Amino acid sequence: MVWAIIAVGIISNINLMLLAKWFASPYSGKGYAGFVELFGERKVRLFSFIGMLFIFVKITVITLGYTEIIHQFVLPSIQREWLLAFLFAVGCYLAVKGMEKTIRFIFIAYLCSFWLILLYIPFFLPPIASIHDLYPIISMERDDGIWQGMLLIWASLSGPEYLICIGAWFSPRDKLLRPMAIGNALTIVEYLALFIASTLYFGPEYLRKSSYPVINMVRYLQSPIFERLDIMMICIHIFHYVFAIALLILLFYGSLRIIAGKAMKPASRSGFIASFMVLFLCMLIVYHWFWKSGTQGHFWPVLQVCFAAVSFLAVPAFMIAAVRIKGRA
Amino acid sequence: MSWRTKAALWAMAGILFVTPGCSSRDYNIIEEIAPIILWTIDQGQDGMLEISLLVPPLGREEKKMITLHTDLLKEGKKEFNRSYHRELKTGQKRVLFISEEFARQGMRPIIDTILADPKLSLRLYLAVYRGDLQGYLQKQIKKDPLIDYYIYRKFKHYESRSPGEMTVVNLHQYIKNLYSPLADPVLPVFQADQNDLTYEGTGLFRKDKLVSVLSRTEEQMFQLQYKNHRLQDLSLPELSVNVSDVHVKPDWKVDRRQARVTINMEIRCRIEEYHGNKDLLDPAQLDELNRNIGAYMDKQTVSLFKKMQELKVDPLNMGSYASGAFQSRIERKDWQKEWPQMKVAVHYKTFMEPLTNSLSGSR
Repeated sequence: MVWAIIAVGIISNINLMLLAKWFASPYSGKGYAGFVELFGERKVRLFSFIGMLFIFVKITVITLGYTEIIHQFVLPSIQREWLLAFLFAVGCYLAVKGMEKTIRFIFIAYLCSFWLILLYIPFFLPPIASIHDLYPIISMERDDGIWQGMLLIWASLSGPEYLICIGAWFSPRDKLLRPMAIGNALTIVEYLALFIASTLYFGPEYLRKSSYPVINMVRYLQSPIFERLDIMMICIHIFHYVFAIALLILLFYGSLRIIAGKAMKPASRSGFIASFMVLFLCMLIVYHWFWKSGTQGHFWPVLQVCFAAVSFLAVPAFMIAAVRIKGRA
Repeated sequence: MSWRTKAALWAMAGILFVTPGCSSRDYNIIEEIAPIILWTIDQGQDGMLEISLLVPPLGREEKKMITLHTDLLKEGKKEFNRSYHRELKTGQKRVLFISEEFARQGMRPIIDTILADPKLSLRLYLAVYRGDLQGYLQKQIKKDPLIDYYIYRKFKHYESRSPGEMTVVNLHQYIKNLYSPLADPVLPVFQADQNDLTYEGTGLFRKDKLVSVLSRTEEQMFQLQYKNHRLQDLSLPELSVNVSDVHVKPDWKVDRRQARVTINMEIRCRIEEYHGNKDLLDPAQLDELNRNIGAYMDKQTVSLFKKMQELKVDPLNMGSYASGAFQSRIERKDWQKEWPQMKVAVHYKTFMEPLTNSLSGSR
């Protein structure tokens, strides 16, 4: 599985090179006007509609997944719907500040959560670790789980394709390939570290049976100051999730405006509040009646994995193809 | 934002901070709960379980031991809550003793129950006991009410600070070996009678059933092979010598094609006590003693491995050495067939630290 993660990382780097080519083209900096120039208004509305579906699935699964984790590990006695409401409210507070402030929030989200990987250092040292648990490093036999694992990693690496929606906020001189490649490499290193740490801790057989292995590992660590390090870790991740929710809310609102044909007019606060009320109601409905957690099945996470994988694969290639066709015509 | 909006937002935030304390599900007032540290499980009559708990005192109460007879483990909690005036809280459980009869029958139902409890920490220490642990605890709590806490501290001490004295296994290590296809778990075994609780040896398990307890010499050899490869004191009464501070560098090679296991151990230690006839200031006799120690340990280790092969257990996880980095893992059924047939060759190289206050060094 180790080589599988590295292989997926290399492929996604190639994908990011395609995406960087899009940002080098003149259409990317113009925002909505650039898309209209490229495709024509009706097609942009159609893509917006499809994109809205993708965004809705993504934001639903991200928020509800995190709410489940909070409900299971941190605050089991508060009703789950209230947790969802609080989390969504914080996301909305950030989104109301506007797209620029939301984009800048990524600094805080990154600084607060990137060092959590250092918590996993004790799992690489003996006596917990023994190198023989990692064998075989390159497995010669066919293993169906490998393909599902690779799909999962590919979907987890997805996300940069949403950058095309906020291309208008980047300055035209920015060359995006190097930062994206560095980000990709860091993400792959983090996934590798987490995978190796959890294999060393659980052993490969037991790992398949454990739910939330990454959080349960942190419960094993002892420190003289805190008894429950995993609660701290889950709570620090809220910055990361709030950023994702806020960005997706803004993109959802933008796509609603495009579909309604009001893209050229300035954004109104009441319209914005209406859009996230709608989004919240939809999520609440999904949570109450359609969400299955734990042993009941993994329908929504699997759906999100498929959507994210498709969007990460299709979007950069599609954009580059459109620019080429337009250039030729 | 006007000051009114700000004030309203701050008031809402304040209320938000206060509400978690009003939760009605986890209500922990210290006078009304009984967090227990140590509990024991035994086989009672008619297939019922006998669970004994040491209930912590509050104020002027005496510490008590409560024994419950139940069918299922979690029923014990219900029984306890019905009969005692405080609610049982499981989050502080630190030590679990399991009787030998129960361990020989298979511990899987207990382990599955324990795993399913989200409040139990994975650092719960497990141990097997033989004898009358309940009688021992009943007697001790009169003399020393903190006995359960001291037992927990003993386990904690031998886990981290003083390697090689006794095996200390916590729940996570036990379960990891239980679920790994090639290795088998081990647990420490204690002998309890009216006045003492002594460490007997390491209990070898075949998956979740206890099969054997090691004797003294076997135990010492096992400590050298297991985990930290250190032993504080190695007594060899047949050679009338006691060496201390033993460090071992192991080198295990498993050759499947020739069905052979080769173990080369390099030992560094120091002679502490010698009651024999040799004159230790004479380098030739010291060498002879070194070689005798090496040969004796060779023989004992080979017999330990033979015992493990006969019982068909693999507590040292030799199976993972059977395949290299780029080969596929050996299957459990293959390893179970091959392990008992392997020839084990052990070779010790002993390096003695120089004796203090003597002119002759040692090689």
